[in-house]
Amino acid sequence: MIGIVSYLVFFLTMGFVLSIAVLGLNLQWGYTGLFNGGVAAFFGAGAYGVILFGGSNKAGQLIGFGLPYPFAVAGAVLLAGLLAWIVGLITTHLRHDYLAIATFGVAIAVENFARNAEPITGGAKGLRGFERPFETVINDPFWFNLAYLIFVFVVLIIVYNILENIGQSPFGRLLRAIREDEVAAQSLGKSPARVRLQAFIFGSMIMGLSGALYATFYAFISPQDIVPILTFQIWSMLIVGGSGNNKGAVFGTLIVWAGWVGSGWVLTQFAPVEMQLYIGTIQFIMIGLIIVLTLLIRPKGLLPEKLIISRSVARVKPE
Amino acid sequence: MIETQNLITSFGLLKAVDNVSLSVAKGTITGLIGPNGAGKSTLFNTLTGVIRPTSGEIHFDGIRTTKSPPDVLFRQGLAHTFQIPRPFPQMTVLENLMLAPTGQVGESLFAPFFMMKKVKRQEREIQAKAMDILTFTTLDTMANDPAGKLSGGQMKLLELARVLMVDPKVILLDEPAAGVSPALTEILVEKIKDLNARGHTFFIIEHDMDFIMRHCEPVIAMVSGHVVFEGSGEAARSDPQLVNAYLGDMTYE
Ligand SMILES: Nc1ncnc2c1ncn2[C@@H]1O[C@H](COP(=O)(O)OP(=O)(O)OP(=O)(O)O)[C@@H](O)[C@H]1O
Ligand SMILES: [Mg+2]
Repeated sequence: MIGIVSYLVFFLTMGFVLSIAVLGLNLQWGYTGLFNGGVAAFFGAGAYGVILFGGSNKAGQLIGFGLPYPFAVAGAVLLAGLLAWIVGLITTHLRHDYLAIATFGVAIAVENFARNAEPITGGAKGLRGFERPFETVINDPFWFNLAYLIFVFVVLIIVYNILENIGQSPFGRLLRAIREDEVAAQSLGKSPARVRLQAFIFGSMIMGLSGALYATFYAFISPQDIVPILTFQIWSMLIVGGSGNNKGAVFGTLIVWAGWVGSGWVLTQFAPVEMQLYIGTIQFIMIGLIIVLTLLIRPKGLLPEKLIISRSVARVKPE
Repeated sequence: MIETQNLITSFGLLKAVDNVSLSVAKGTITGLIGPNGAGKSTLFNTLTGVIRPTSGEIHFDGIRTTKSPPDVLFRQGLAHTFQIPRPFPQMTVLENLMLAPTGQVGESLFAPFFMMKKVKRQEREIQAKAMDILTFTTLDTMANDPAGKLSGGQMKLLELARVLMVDPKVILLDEPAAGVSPALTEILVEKIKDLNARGHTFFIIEHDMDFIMRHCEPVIAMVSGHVVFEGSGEAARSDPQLVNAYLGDMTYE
């Protein structure tokens, strides 16, 4: 019984952590139409960031500031934002085609950096030994994980509300206008380049936050956690849920995550021995399949985008 | 209000706007005519910064704007509509209009959290203005519909409605009456005259010669990228060469 409950706790914790990243992508793609092919890079910046800023300095390692946890998370989020800002500058104001390729490249570069910059990132072995906040207070792993689940849930609620507020504000209206027709928006006096950069940086910071929570949960991060497939997982969650809809983003995350975990379990239980080695590969294929099927059958996702109206606008009654 | 010197805009080898020097005087409703492919829309797109000129100079309201992007020009008071309407299809008609005003405090990432009161007040004002304009353009019953659902003629009206949300010094209209019903065109003309009387300058591309002759003064004619005529509507009408060569077949469109 306790085994099932603690598995459920793990499942939900990861589901919520991933939801936050998907919400960040929704701001970029769903609202603004920015194609980020390197979600893993910003997630990774946050994940490594929190351990580098919050972990203690160890022998053979350059960094480890031992900052209090809130500062470590803030540093991680800022690191992801800084990376996004640099990407924004080199892709000359985030033109679509450049952005897709550049972000994909950045994700590869970040992964390789993590793999090779051993004095900073611990190389292929990763970084471990991070002391999680309150870990010594709540001495029992089960209760600690439960408390952490609640913490992550609260963060998700906050992020969700911030994004809903943005979506329903005049700024959200501006984001959607730029997504729909950038030329028309610019002809109405808006500066697409500046607005896109803001949305890109803010969305990437949310991905960084997700990464920080992920690394906190495991108290460990390695290059294996930020491989390109992560980007595709996050994308599939948004597409299945419904891009442009924050509820859809969270819903899609939980469904795809359940499918991922569930298929992993089914395959390990029932797949013939000679296939066991390829379970990961089969799951990758399934992710691709899910994206393609959703696009074919329900291109707008399970919870499609609604006509969002600014919160402060009174609805007009047709006569 | 608008002056160009030796303006050239090329697409590859084609000079769509070829050495155009013209001026649009303040307070006029200037008409621009010419056969299909004459370069009228390209000229507008160049004046408004949508397309960069290949060479030549543009001045707007005494300021050199040859290289200014459209957003800067719009904020300086130069508004325009597109020949092929460009609505934001998945936004409501009302929101298409509410987007247009410049200097909205709510158009910043942090406004929803720190300036909600101010944002709300401004939104109310903007919405009231938008509803006024929607009523006048007869789009009010579609206020809550996605703009993508409008008919072609309604989209033309939406384009106009959007730029009326601000108070532009000059408004460039690319075939505002095309696809719009005659009754609505009358209302449109009335509004244009009304705004013109209050000091707004108009520069209008139109194929409908009747529209041009009745409402525009002066008239500029373009053919193959060149300006071939600049003068009063009367003179244009009685210029036999112009009528025979270019306008004769246009009236039958
Ligand atoms: N983006 C573009 N790329 C290449 N050629 C173009 C482009 N836009 C216009 N042209 C060409 O430039 C010429 C002028 O086109 P333009 O649209 O300015 O004419 P117009 O006078 O507005 O015609 P119409 O009355 O049909 O609207 C045409 O030959 C057209 O094919
Ligand atoms: Mg044209």
